[in-house]
Amino acid sequence: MANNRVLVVGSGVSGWAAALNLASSGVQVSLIEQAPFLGGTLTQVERQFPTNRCLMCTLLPVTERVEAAEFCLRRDFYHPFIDVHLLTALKKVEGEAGNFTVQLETKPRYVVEEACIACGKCEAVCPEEVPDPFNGNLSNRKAIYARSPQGIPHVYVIDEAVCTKCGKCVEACPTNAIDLKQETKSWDLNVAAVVVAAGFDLFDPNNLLQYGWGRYPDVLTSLQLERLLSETGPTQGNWVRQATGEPVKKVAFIQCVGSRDVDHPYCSSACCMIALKEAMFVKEKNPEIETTLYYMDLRDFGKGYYRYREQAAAMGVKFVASRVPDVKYNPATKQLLIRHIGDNDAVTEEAVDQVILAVGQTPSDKSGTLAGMLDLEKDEGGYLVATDLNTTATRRDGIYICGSVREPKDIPDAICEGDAAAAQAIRWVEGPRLEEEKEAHPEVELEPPKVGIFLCRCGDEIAARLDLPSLAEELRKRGNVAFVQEVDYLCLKETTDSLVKQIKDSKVNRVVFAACVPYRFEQQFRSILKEAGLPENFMTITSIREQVAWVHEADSESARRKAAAMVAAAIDRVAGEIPRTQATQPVTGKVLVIGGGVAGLTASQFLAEQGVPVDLVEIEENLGGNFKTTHFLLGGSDPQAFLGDLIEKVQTNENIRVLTKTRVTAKEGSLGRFVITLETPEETFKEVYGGVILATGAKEHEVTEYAYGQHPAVVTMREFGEKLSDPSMPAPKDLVFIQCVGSREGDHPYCSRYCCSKALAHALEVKQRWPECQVSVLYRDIMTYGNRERAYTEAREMGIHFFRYGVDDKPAVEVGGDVVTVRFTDPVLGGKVTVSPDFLVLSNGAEADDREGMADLFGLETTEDGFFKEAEVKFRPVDAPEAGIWLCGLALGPKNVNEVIIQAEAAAARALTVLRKQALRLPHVKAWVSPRRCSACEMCVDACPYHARIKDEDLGYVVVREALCQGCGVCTTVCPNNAVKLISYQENQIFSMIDRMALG
Amino acid sequence: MANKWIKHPLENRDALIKGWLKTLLEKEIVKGVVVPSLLPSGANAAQSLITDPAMLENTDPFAPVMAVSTAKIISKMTRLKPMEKPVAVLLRPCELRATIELTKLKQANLDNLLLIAMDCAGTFSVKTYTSLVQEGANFVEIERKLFAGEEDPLLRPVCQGCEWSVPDNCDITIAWHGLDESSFGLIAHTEKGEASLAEMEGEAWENGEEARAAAVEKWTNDKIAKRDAQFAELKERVSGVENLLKTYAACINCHNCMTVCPICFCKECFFDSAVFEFESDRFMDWSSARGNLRLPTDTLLFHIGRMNHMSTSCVACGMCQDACPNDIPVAQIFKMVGFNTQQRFDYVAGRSLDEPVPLADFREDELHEIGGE
Repeated sequence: MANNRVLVVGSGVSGWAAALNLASSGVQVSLIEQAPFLGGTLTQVERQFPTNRCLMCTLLPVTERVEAAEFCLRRDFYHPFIDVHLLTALKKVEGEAGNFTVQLETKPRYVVEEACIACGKCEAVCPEEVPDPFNGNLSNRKAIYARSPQGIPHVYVIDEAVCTKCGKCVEACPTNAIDLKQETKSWDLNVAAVVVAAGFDLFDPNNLLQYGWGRYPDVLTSLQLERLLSETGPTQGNWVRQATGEPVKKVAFIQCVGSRDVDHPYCSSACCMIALKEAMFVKEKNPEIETTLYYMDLRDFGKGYYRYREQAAAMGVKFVASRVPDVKYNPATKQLLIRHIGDNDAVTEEAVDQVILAVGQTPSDKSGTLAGMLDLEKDEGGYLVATDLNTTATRRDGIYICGSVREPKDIPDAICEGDAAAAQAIRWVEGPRLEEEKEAHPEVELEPPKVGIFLCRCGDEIAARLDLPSLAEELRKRGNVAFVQEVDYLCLKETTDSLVKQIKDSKVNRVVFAACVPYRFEQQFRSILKEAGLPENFMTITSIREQVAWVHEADSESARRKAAAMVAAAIDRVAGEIPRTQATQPVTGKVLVIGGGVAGLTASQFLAEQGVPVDLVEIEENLGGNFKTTHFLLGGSDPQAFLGDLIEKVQTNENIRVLTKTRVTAKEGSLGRFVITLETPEETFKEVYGGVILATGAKEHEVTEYAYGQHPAVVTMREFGEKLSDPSMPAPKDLVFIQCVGSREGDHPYCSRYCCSKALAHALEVKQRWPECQVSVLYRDIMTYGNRERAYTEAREMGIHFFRYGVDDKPAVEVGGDVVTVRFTDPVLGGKVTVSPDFLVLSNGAEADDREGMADLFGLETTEDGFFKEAEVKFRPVDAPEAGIWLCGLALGPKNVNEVIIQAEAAAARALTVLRKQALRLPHVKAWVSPRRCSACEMCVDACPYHARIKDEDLGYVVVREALCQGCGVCTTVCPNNAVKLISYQENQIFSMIDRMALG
Repeated sequence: MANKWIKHPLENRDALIKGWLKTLLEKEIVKGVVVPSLLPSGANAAQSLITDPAMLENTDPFAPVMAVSTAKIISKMTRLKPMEKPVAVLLRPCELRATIELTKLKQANLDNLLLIAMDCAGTFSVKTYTSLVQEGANFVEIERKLFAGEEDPLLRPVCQGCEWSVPDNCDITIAWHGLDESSFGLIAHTEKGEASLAEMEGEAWENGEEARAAAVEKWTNDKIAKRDAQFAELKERVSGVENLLKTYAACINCHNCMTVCPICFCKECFFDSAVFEFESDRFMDWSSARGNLRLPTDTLLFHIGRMNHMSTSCVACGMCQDACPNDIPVAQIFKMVGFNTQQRFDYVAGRSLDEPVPLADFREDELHEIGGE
């Protein structure tokens, strides 16, 4: 049976990414979520490091979205190909890849979603109150509740565990939306593949009694602080000492709570950065607050994270490299006492007002139910295990895992994995891969506007507070109004038919819905217009509930005046609407991959396997890139066997044309049709591609310090790896590794991310081969995030010595005669240590290398460190700012090889969303240019963030590249000439609306 | 970068410059010259494009008047197609800055133009200039006095406080500052400029740079002081909606100020477009709200809108004020608003081709006080 559906388990950020990617590739998705609301942990967090902004909206589908979902992902999420099932869990999986039967179980919500109008009457009468986990239990909610005020649809749910079924809410509900008799429903679904993105649980600090969480009011988790600092949090951002209500003057962040210990042999990867972010927020509130971070290793390994740390330090955040064993309470001062290793290595006790515990991630599938059900492996930390080199594939075909369910991780990595898993799942999807939705576009004559107005009574919500009959009377007097109709509930599905009938019968061509918040029912109202044969955008919604009835209760005359002005404004706006047009653009189903390293090879191979023709361009003579010199990896995979296999696959795949010694010299065109000029040693020619993947890599940092070049025993990481790969290498007696060579200081204020893992892989190999060899690693912070932590633990268990050094006290290297001497401080014993190793291995990192000028050619910005900038560092990690161009690998920033592979797959997955289509259905035209007005000053061309504008030299004016326009409106603000028109926001509409409101 | 300094006797300035331009034309170093020519009445001068060397006799390169901004003329001539052959253009500093601004706005093209700009003591409005000519005024003497720092209330108000009246972002500067009163200087800033100066060898201007820098500094500081005094007085007069309404009360919506503005490059002004055509009931609605509707509508909105669109690029040339039939101090207000707006973006209109116009230039960290963090 042909199956075009994939099940995604979990609606956190990774599941979101997977579902969106599948849906935009034309796959039907069933997205299930155990919780009553979408979004996972992310919805509780408002601002992200390292931007200190939210920007979650950038993850939204960028085409074919309705305005409802344009607002914010935290609020709503809509895609026509995604069915969302909340309160739903996976129970059983049978069958095989391409044809799974999954059994699902949906718990009762007890509230009929379609009928709930979010009036809140149920909540008001509910007698049961419990702490609200959304706010870290720092506030209370009722047994019937909506998750957060921002949530849309703002629909209620009953917490089964708390509800006593007293029935008060049933009586209070004006729309009979509450059904206490709802039961758990079990149902089956046939899917081609399953993507598991079940996420993580936050570590419960009750398990670590020594920190006094739950006993001392001012011991909080990082999430609790996040909520307390939030404007939408339990105290509207009023953050004080919980014990006294006084301002916090001194706060301590304790890292690794529930991470990197015996029971949790992994690093939670994100907590250091979360602590940095929160510490910065604290400093923003008041720079005088003493803010100190107590850490073991400060893991600022991500893109821009080291600079972020420096930013925090510049704001006055203090850092102490010391584990804090416990927290005590001083009842007299109500302060907390913590001990740590202070200056001069003495144990220091410190009194602070508040302690923030950096609680880590724990596996969500602790019980192993999911692993058992899916027949997947689990590791000792409790995480699901993927196949070799940590891709998203599991030992079972058709089942893929992504996000924190397989290893703790931060958002961009989770999103990449979601994308990569989606692309894997597509392999099993059959049938017509993309149904081009045929939308009839009614040709509406530009006849004079004739407006129909529906006034929603919303039961009594509006009707009781606003004199609707006299409002209707007033509106009827307006020139182009054909009818004004009061309706009990505009939102209820059963009223739809009568609305359509009335629109048709009265022959109106524009409709105003005066109802509640505009975004909630926009989808539904649009379909009413569609059914009535009108263009979807020939309607507008104005909120006479939230903006009038609910805020002017006591003053009905001013309420009526305001409502009249708002509806009048809506009439003028809708009267000024013009039909939207939509076009399609053919897609060239061929991709160009630039760069023949692991990233480029992976992306090429991946796309070629999906039937996409690929041109893989490499400037060098051979494929393989920097990875050719990698011989050892943590986890024991054989890098060269892997690379050889990958190159072989690429070279033998008939969908791939490999062009070595080839340069890319020019780019024209846009998404769906790029015309690229290629220069091989023999010829220069142009090719057409639907999209481009840039995987141009980075280069090794050239070492200039630590006596490098003065003695053969002083070697770089790469050189040592090559020596070690020679089986005849003589046994060394003493080895010293120096970490962060050319990283995290000076001109290179970033972590190269892979050097610690590589050094550990080398050190472990040495120790295994020659157990007698003394190995010392001189480091600043060991970056063994996630499951890499286990290698660090193993290294210490095997007797490898680790010595921390500071940038102000770097190891000193001398070459005297034939001997290399390394002198460094032992921070534990205090004294200086001198070693004369057989090899001094310098762990040199990566440097940006865009020698071919690809950034300029493809309109990319680069970071201060020279790496390519993605559209958004957190939520769109592989998209270039210009649509149709994707980025992966070290060109984006240093990373480990498994991350390179995931990122390459993610880029390939993003490319598939375009390349699988015969044609792109362009978004409705959002902006256009009036040729008569355009002076071709090109200010809009420079200002457009989407590269959607270009001057047509033949026409002599600027045109909009419709495939790229997102309708943001920046062009309208810079155009002095009013030559730029933004649909639905045309100046006559806006002026009229202002007029109506001002004249009110 | 070329950098050549020469000087000549001041008394022959007119003849020397005309002769030099003539040579340039005769030797076909340039194919045309844009320079102020005497009008048939003899009482005024306006720009002409001269291709016949003989016609240069009838020109008046230093006539202290700007009938139409040369920037606007250059835009007209080069917007659709750049000059194919070299053409020399004689400019006042504000015209030069407007030209550069228009070039950035893609409304002019500098290809093949030889930009010759002069130290400017200020100009008179067309009306004032005509009557001065009729009175038989000695313009050489007037210019000398102005450069010596004397004030002249007849000078256009923006010129009186013009701090950008010394040009150097051109090919050649005709210099006054930095020399004694018996000489004028010629400075070539570009290769192109230097090549054309080969046709007018003069005495080397020794140590010119130093002397000129000091003189320019003094001149500019005096002008800034004057400007600030003008701003202070003006601010008092026009601040607040009431004062603004009072100031613009005399506006008759003729849009002359927009028509003559070199920077207003729109094909059709937004305020002349159909957006500002309304149905009759709209007028009644507006009037009903207060019982009284000033007609024509949107006069103040026009000025504010134009400021919003153009103040980042305003070069304070003052053309708008000359064109106002009702003597509204439009240029002075525009200059003050423009000055503050441009300062906000660390921008000076027409200062350099390399500075992007503020609206097309996005900086992540700017205007936090408006847009928040």
